[in-house]
Amino acid sequence: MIDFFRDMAINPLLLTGLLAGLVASIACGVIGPYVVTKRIVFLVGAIAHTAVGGIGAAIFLRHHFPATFGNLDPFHGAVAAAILGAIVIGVVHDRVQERMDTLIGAMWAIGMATGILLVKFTPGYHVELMSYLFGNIAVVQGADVLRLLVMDIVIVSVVVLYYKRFLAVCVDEEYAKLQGVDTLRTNLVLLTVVALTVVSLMQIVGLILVIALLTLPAATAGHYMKRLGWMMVVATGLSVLLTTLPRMAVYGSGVSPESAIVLTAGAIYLCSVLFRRLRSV
Amino acid sequence: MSQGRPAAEIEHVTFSYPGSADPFPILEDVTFQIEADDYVGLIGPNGAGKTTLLRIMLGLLKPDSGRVSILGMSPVEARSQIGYVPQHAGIDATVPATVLDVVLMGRLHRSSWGPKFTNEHVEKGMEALRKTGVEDLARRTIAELSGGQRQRVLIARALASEARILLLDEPTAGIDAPMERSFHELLGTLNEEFPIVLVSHDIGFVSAHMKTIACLNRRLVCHGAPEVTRDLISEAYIDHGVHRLVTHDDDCPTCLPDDENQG
Repeated sequence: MIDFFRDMAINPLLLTGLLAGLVASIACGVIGPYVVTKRIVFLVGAIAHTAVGGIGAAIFLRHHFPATFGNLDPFHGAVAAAILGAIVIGVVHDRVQERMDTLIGAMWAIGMATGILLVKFTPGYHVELMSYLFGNIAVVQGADVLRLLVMDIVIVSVVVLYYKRFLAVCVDEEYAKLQGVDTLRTNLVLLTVVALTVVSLMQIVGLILVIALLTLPAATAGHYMKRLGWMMVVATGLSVLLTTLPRMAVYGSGVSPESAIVLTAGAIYLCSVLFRRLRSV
Repeated sequence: MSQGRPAAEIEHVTFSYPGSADPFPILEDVTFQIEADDYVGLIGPNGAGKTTLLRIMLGLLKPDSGRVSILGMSPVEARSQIGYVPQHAGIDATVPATVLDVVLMGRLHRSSWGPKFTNEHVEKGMEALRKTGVEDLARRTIAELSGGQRQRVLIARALASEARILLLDEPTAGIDAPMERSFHELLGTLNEEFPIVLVSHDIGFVSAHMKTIACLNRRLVCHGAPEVTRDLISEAYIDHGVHRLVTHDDDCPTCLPDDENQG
């Protein structure tokens, strides 16, 4: 921990990594409670894996068509694919009587396969894809932090605007519809901000661990908070602690910071489950 | 209250679920009126089409043929003025929301964007909770309430929407007998202000406060004052192989005496 602060003076990446964690915590804390409440944890997994397809496509296009797509960043591909995936799942679920878990499984696999395939045809970019899969908090740049901040502003603004409607579709979707809420549009907007959050968090812990960060702090907060707004506040607080402390603690030890973050989140959640169980006996 | 024009008209409504293997429609040529001060008990065995009819009245399903008008409008147009009380089991009790949050859903169509309901809306919500006698539960979560309390919260939500007609779907599922009695009294009081349609599979649920009974079993088997003959109700049930009639409320004018009720 002390090493971390000592090295922060000479290694600006430590500071930007820390800031990125803080900024991502806001998106995570605000959106996580919806993911847990609406029981769409696996849908988040599918969105994350769809994003891989977008990352692969961006890398592929940039490499093979530099004249047209020279400025394309994998991040852009991830955002576009994640939003597209979210909207496809939302619309198909609404319009076609398809089993939700089958649909999610299909998107999950197709997204991942597309990403791997496209990167395979683009020599030399394997590492870039890996950094999205497993996270790269250690090399986050100032520009990345800024990008995360923009995402936060979008996500939080949408949630503030839609707060009542989002809550209504979580509590009782049919009644919300009878109250004149366009439930399809509301769900699609919600899935879109979920997709943006997934892509933001991918920068920090990688897509494989996104599910953990999006669900564990929110679920832990849900053990103690009765209202959605407070659940968001507590989940954000927990996320801030989780993206900073474990990382500092394992600094210099060779343990990957992403694993430390997720294992700590898991441990806190499981302790909270046990604590509640013991208290209720 | 009663100004001549009926609160709802259901005319020759027929409905089948698309792709259903059943050769018969779930509703066939159903016609009845709900008067402006009516309290209709819509009863029938499971699978009789009660919930389907309710969903048609809410505009969630379209009849294959026939016409439905609620408060002189199409069901979809009338939606914001229909106080719908779903089965309380349909609410996700694990959602982090207080009773007041749930009741304020009834104000959604009048409220602006943004995270907060204005004081005016909150006041309407509290007033609705007062009317249904659960004002002191406003800060609790749905998960902490009993079935009877949840049902009152859902009625409060319907009242908060400033509805002009109340539709209740199986409101006594999971409610014990003493709760049920006070629940009937509440509905009787509310009927002074609103026409009410209450759907139940339980003919014991017919209450002294009801003004009309409609027995549904694919077709409308009978429709009239609660003094409808026992035979007609029995027919609706025995058609479906249910021979034992369950009674809950001693005040009920159509219930069988207990000794006849055991077989």
